[in-house]
Amino acid sequence: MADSEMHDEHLRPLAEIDRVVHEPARLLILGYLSVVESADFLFLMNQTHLTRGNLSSHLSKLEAAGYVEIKKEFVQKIPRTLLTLTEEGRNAFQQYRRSMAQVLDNLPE
Amino acid sequence: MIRRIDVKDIDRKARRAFREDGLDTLTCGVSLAIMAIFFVDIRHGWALGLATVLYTIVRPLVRDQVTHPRIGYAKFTPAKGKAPVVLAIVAFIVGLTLFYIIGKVARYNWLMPLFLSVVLAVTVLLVAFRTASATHYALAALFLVSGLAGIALTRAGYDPGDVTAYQLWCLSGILVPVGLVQLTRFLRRYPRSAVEVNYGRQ
Repeated sequence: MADSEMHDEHLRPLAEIDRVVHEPARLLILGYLSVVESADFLFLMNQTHLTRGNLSSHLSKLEAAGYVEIKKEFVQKIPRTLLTLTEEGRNAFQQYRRSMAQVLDNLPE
Repeated sequence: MIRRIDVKDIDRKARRAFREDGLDTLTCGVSLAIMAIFFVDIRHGWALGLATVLYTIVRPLVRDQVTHPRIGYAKFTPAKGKAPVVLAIVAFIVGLTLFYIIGKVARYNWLMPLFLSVVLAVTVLLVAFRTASATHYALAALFLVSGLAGIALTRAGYDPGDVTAYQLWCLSGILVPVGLVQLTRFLRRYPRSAVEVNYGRQ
């Protein structure tokens, strides 16, 4: 097999990378949501150190992709935005991790 | 950008965030101080109950009022959540009571300070391992040292009940100030936001 073909073979998983997940801020959000059952907006903002606007914008994209479910609720008359990773989001995150691990393992030293 | 994602590290950070408030250390210190009363006089069984209530019921309520409005709220998966912790605490209290009462009859309660410190150290080590918190590793070591000191005193002829009580008060004397320092730092670092930071859909 020619060198260029082997190289292409190793990098093929890169072409299958989900760009919605690949963005660093969204990846961090998905990472945090993957280790909790649910979290609110404030928690994610503190953990990811994203600004309110930035976090909102990324959450909108994740919601549009069906990866995150956003629920509004009231706790002692105070509004709370609860975020949950959907099954689809969890699968996409796991798939992304597998693909990236494959790419990194196959990269030459 | 190509990188690996360390989910375990994210999990540790998420869990550690809720322990930065010092409430665990503070309420543990107060609970141990109350629990010590039982070892001075076994008739004060209420002290064990009060200490349990303080740690399992009051602490989460205070956290709802102090911590969540400042750093937000996250619910961890049930398998890694509160149920095992509550079970461990109940098992600890029951074991402690049985050990002390049976030990008093069978005359092996001189082991009490060591038993207590080992149980506390293992519990704190589990937390330390899950959160990678240096404070919790230090506390585990402190518990073990207190147990060794306690067993040396019981072997020297001091009453195991009194030794255990003083051991708990000494630990409390360390835990409460440490918890207060952690809480003060936390309150300064995370001032309470006037309104909930809303997802941008107003």
